[in-house]
Amino acid sequence: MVDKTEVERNLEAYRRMKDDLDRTYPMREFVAIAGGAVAAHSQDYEDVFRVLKSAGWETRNCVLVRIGDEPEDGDILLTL
Amino acid sequence: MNQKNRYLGRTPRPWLEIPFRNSAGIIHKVKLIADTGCPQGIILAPEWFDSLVTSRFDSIRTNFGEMDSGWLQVFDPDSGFVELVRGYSSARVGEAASASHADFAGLIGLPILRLGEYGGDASEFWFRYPASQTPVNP
Repeated sequence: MVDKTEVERNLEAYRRMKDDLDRTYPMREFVAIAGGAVAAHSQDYEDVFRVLKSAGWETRNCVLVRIGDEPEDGDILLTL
Repeated sequence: MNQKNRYLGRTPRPWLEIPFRNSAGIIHKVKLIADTGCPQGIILAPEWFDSLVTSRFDSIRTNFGEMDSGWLQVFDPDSGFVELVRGYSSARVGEAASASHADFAGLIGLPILRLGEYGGDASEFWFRYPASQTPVNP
């Protein structure tokens, strides 16, 4: 199940570690954060999910970043 | 994947039915308004987002407010359309979509549509993946 507290804990860890992650891992690498720390990384996201699940993590509560990606802020043009 | 759908909704909207595989490996098909003006790949009503999200990413700011973000897996192995894509959660977008038609769970935007090939005419919207191989003149 979704655990908002765990999600927020992992997001806070990601924001704190973002610059280090960008320096440490190659571009396009998937890096997962679980329990507030890096728990897996690979160029293949399926590998990352396998490692997380085998360690008992609920992946929906983990943060997954792809090095080099930035948030996609922008306006949505849908109107009611 | 090859879809050709008649416009649907209070004001007719183009739409696609997209299969997603969630973190438990269960596949759900969801009807989404196709919005080529939307810069986000997928935006879902929160109940659908929580059901389909495989993992999380940082939130974003939009004219519909701040949105939670995560990774969704489009899963149509028959066509080879299996992609991990960024998705977002928005109650306001979900309400706007379902106000147009009760079956709509959100939006599918340009970052996903451009992975294949899309178009429309007076009565239908279509999408196919992979895109057709159009010869390119030198």
